[in-house]
Amino acid sequence: MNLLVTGGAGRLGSGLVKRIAARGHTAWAFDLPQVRFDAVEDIPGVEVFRGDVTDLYDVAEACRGVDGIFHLAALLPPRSEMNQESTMQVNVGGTRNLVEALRQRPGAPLIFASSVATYGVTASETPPIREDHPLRAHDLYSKSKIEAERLVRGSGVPYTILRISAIAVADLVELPDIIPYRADQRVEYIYVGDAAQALLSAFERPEARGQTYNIAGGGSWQMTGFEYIRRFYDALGVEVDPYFSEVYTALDWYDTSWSRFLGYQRATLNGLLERLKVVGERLGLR
Amino acid sequence: MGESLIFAKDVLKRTLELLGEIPSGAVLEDELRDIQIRIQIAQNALIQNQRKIWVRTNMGKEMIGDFGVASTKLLGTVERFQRAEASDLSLLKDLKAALGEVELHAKRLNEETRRRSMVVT
Repeated sequence: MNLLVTGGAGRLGSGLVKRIAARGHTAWAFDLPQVRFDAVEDIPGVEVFRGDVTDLYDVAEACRGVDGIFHLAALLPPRSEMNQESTMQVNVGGTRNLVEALRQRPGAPLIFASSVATYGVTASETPPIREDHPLRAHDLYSKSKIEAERLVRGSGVPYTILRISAIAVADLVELPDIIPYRADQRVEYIYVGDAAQALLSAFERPEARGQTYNIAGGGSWQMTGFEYIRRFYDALGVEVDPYFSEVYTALDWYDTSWSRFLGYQRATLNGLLERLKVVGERLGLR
Repeated sequence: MGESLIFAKDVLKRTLELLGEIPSGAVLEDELRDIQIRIQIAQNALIQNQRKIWVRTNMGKEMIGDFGVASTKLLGTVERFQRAEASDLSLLKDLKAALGEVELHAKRLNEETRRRSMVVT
């Protein structure tokens, strides 16, 4: 099968592309021409397509002969908050272009990577947050994802929507000037490989068509923002002095009981921490 | 802050000082201003990234070291240029080539920070 992954050179996209290729399919990694494709280039079963989801011609070309699309390309915070027009053009317009192109491929599903940000700020509520929670835009990014979800649902093409939580990687992640959540806020990350697995399983499981799922790490990943940051950087061997957001943001604990059949919650937080220790040693931080 | 980072910063600072001392006739004024601005942009990349965690890694130290080597080469071309009595186009070409190398290293620093940025969606 030919499967297209938009945002295919990114952290999550490249992991998904590798998994698709490992399954014996041809993975088409679609990403902007200026992006580095190092992570996926030269892998057997991976083809690179340099283009822009906002360009109808690029999208039509990329979708020719595909059997399914994983749509991950998006403008993410903080960049998404700088310009409403660009954010809507990429996150909503890009989705519209893909949906249009998919109409030429009857039966080929769209697996859409949405976000738990669509629930808005839920800190005052009782966790976990379920898929039937009302959607509340609190910034341009969540607004764009809510609109894109609506577009996908109404498109008539077979789809699965995954509302993915914050992605954790086993690598050094730079500490931002302000951590985008409060120290006492509930957070639940998901390991990048598990998120990629969820996307792939959503494609492979026909019963997932027409459904929307929360995708998050599960019990071992549910903690406060302070605890996550402390454990992450302790494992790397780095002493940090983080400055947390003073307001609650859109990250919480999620009910993933409905999505568990996708078999993606494989990594535990302790597993990530062990990997980070190895990374810290390799980088000379420990 | 690592020694190589302080070294690279000092070298660029000295380079800018020397450029400021070049008599205006030696090189077109606009060209000189353009070179100074480009060096300041490279200097800013160093300053903006100096507190990043990745700079403390083995790979980060190596990148800063390479930045320092390129900066030293740039300083050498500016010193030669300053010593030249009249406008020497081949020296100017060397200077611009050395500056291009420094800019390449500055771009790499920014790219590394961007690549390692925390994204929470």
